[in-house]
Amino acid sequence: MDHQHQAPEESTCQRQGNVAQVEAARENVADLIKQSNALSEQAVLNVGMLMKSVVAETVDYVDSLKTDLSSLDAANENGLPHVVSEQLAVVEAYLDKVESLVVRQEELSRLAVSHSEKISHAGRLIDNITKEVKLLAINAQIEATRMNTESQSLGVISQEMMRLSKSVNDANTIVRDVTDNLLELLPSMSDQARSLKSSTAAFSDDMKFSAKRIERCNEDVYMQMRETFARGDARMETILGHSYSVLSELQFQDPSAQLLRKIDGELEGLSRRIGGDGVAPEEEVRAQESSDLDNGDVLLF
Amino acid sequence: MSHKILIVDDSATVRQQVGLALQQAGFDTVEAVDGVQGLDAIQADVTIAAVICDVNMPRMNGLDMVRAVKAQGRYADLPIVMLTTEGQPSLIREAREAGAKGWIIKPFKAVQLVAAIQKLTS
Repeated sequence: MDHQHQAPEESTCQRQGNVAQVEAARENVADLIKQSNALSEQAVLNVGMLMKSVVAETVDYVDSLKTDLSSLDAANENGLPHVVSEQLAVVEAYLDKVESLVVRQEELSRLAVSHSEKISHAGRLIDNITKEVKLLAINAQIEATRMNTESQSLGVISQEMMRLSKSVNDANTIVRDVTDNLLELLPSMSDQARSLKSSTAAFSDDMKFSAKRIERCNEDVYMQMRETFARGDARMETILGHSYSVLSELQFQDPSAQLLRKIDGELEGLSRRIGGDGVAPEEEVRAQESSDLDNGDVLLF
Repeated sequence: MSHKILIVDDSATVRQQVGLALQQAGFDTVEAVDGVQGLDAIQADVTIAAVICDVNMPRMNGLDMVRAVKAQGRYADLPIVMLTTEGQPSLIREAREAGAKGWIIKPFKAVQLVAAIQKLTS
């Protein structure tokens, strides 16, 4: 008997033993693949849920940033600059009123000066009349003395004329003093009115300058806040973009799981061939077909 | 009004990622884990506007599900897009002949997936 050749029964028995070992190994591999897939699937799901939270939080924050930005724009549109320009308008109106009052006062002062000058002229005329009356009174007194007692009444008239002349002179002196005082005061009043106008104009300029500064400060604050919001928005968009990228990367799990399942399929095919049926699984035949499509390609029919 | 999209895939991670991409774009989503559940979902909910379906799934694969859906005349206009790692021309041809409207290779780009669904549901 040739020891180099095994008996057919012995060979079949050994082959069945090998097949059983391969099958047991395949089942072990299949089990490990299932465990590995379950593990990676759960990890990816957890990461996916966390990324979903990140995305939701980021989207919420971006939305709130956009709302805040709109509020900021609205506040800038209707807020401080609006109040400042209203205040400026009030000051402008006040200044216009003061200016018109000053102009009116100057007109009145000119009129008062003109009237005072007329009064002064009248005073001079009255002076002349007083002098004439005085002269007439003196003449009457001389005539009364010359005519002696027969002209006592002329003397009385003369005295009355002298008293009248003195009264008119006294009244004229009062009017002249008042007119002189008035003529002295009127330029001073005009000067004060012009000074008030000048002070108000200076105040208005100060107000405008302050308002401009407030506007500039407000504009700076607004621009800085807007830039901050815009930077925040851009960063949030970047975070969102990265989050979506992470989510895309998580897609490795399913193709990876399918590849592992294909290893199981390959082992099953190998097991069958060792077992003797020699039939390759359907997927193996399909896998030999070439594909013109790449990952992520979209083909709409 | 947001459209409702059915996602049929045995991979929970794919369902999650497709769902996130579509929800972020304003779609509502419902899920099924295989062709049988997918077919049931389509028949139970007339508001489903489109279906994204894997090919290799247990119990009933994606191509069989498309055939079963399209065999019912009332779903002739329901767009079904296959989302799979497979890219063999024979499979793509089968899907088209079965009535599928598109084929997307995993891993997908969210923007392109959303654009395809928006096009099919507009």
